[in-house]
Amino acid sequence: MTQVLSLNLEEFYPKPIETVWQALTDPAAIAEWLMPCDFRPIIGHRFTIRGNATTNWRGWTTCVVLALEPPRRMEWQWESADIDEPTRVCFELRSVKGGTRLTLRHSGMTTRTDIESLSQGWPIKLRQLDDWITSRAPLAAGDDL
Amino acid sequence: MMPPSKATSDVFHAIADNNRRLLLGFLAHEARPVGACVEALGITYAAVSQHLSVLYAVGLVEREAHGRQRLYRARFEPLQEVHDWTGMYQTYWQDRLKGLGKYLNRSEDRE
Repeated sequence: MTQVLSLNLEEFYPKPIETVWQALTDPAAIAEWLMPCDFRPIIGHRFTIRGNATTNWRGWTTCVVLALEPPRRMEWQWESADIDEPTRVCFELRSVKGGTRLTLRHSGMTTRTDIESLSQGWPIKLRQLDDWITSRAPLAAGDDL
Repeated sequence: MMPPSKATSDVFHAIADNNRRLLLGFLAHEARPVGACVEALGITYAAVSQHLSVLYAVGLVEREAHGRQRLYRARFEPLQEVHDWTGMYQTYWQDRLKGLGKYLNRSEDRE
């Protein structure tokens, strides 16, 4: 039994677009703000995000890189529950005054518990990404904008 | 995805981990950035980040944005729930101490 998933989150990061792009696409960075995984920034690459199972997550999510347009857009196929059709996550970046705006869209059809898990999980992960970008990201050109 | 599930988002779970208790102590008197927590605890950045999220979910830390810095500070109000719970067992110790008093009185009488 699946339902419509349609998450749309926006965040502002006080760093240049290249820095935010790096945080989204560097495997070491992803391991620190999202979860450990074998991501590679290559279209078609299949990877798995692993962690401790919870009451509403089985403990692994399989993904495929569907689109990669540095430094603006990345899309992943995402399967965190046993469903027929994978869902899709799209990260979009745009330079704005003083930093970068990220839009995260996660859509598709999935189970109710998966929707609950993703709706609670992404805001936490985006906050962790903000911590990472503001404390951990190496200084980049244009960082003093 | 790894959100704190309902089972793990209560204050008792939040303080059940030694590193999270250390974080609360470290953030008790001063708001500090994640990097300082990583240095102080000597564990990985990823672990500190997750521990802070658990504490944040139950309100045991608050987060302030200062320009490009993010600072965390401990908040102790949610611990009231723990305090109330342990309070229920205070009468146990009061009864034990009364018992000890009676015992001592009796032994004094015998001497």
